Amino acid sequence: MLHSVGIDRGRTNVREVSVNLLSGAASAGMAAPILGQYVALPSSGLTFRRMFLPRASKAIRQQVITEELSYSLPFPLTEAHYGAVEMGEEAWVTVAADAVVHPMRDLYPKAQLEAEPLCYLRAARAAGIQQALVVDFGASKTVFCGVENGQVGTVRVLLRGGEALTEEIANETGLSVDEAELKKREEGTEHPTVRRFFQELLEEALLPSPLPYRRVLICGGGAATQGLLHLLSQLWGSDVDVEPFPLPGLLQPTDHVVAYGAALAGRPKAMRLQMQHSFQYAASSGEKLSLAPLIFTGLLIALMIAGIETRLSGAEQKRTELRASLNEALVQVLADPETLSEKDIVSQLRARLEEQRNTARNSPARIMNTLGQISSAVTGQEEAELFSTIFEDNLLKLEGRATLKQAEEIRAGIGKVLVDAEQVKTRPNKDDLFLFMIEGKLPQP
Amino acid sequence: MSTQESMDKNLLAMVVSIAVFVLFLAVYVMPRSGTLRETRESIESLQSVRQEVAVLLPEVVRTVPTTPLPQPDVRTWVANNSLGGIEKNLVANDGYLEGKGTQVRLRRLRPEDAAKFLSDLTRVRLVVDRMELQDSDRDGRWDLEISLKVPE
Repeated sequence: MLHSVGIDRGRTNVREVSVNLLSGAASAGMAAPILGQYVALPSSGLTFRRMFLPRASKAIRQQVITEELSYSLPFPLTEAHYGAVEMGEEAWVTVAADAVVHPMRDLYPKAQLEAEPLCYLRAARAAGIQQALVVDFGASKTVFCGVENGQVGTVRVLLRGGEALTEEIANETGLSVDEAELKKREEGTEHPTVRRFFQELLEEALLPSPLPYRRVLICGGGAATQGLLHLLSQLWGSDVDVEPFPLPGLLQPTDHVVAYGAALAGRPKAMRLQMQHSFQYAASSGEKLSLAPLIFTGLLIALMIAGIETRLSGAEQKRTELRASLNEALVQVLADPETLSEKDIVSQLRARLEEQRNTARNSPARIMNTLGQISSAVTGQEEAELFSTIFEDNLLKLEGRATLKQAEEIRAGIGKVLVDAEQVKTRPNKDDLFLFMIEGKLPQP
Repeated sequence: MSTQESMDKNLLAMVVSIAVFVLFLAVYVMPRSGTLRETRESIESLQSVRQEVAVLLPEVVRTVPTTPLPQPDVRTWVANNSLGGIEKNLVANDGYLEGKGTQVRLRRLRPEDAAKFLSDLTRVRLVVDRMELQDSDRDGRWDLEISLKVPE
């Protein structure tokens, strides 16, 4: 099963929590295989801003964030990373100085960086809590994080925690630090210094009164202080339920809240911050953009090459197929048609046809048939006779003897057989008959 | 990196892109488009030729001669195959065109002999160069002079 791992590098030790990405089951430590690693950046190193962003492209929204932050941060933008959770027109922006980010990056080069308040939020939402105040009593700091309508609200960080309390007890009682630590754990809020310390923390947090939350979830090592729940309930009044942060399985609210919340960032659709963007990168994004025209040109060229080559290949194939089918048809009448050009094909075909027609036109069979048809036109006329027939150059000349009327009828009859039949000569003979000469061309076969 | 430098890089990238594209047009697109145009013209020409061939080819196939050429030569073939029974009417059988043609002269043929002679000639592939058929005496006997040759 795949896991995401959350890491919380606390003052006293490193806590790791693994969350099964499918079942959601959580366990302390690092379970394999790991799909994603998320490291929580401590709230003390973060700056938070809630901003309204225009409905615009990602680049413009990024530019707005940069400009908004440029005049409100205590360090140069070029030395910071940021991440933003955008919800419609609103963005919750977290900024961290590179001095905070780089040590984490060096320790966990493959991990993604998450903000501690988002870890509280994800852990609370995983427990079904949409509205609560999370108070993390750490060794070196105390964090107050409001969860409001399922989002991160107010975040207050006080740079005083359990270590400061131990030191205060040691100073007041003259004990060593270890003895003071032991006394703090044994007596809890019964010790006046402890009680005063927590009262001062709540006052310094400048939380509104009455507290606008019905639930307070406490976590961190200080949450184990004896009598703390009772003390906080007294301080905030009976309307507020103070309880340890609810966690699944064997996870302890004193140790695992942040690591668990970080691990939850790997779950599908989880709200992520990912402190991956540096302002330096954003400012120099123009350098990256400069590749866009080249990439676009490259793509355009590739598309044009593909288009032209496809069309050319299709045209070549069509031409080859046309020529092959033409050669196949011509091979029965022309030798080696593939060696002929397109013009030669037609001219050779025409010449071949003309030659064959001439052969047919001047064949003995055709002349014999024509003579047979003509003789029937002559012999049908009484007294008419034919005594000379000459064929030359497709011209047939007939000479005979008949009456004038018969000669005309013979011409008309021959005209049905020959083309352009005409009576070229008619002259009277010594009898009553006339000598006639008719000529005409043999028709096309 | 300043905004000015970024703009300069963008401008440079655009100029380089345009130059590359123009070079691409000149070196690749124009020659290949020319080839494509020639191929398309060739296809149109082939389609036009195919239409003409579609008209001519059936006519060529229809008129292909099926009879054999006279062997060994025209004069010998005529002597052996067409003059049977009319040898006495033969005046001359003179070959010409190096055996590819012959001139035959026959005198006083009956019409049926003339018809048989001409009919025998249809068994081989021959064309009539010239033919003269005359009944000079008007007695129904015909003199025939015919020049025959194989088609070119």
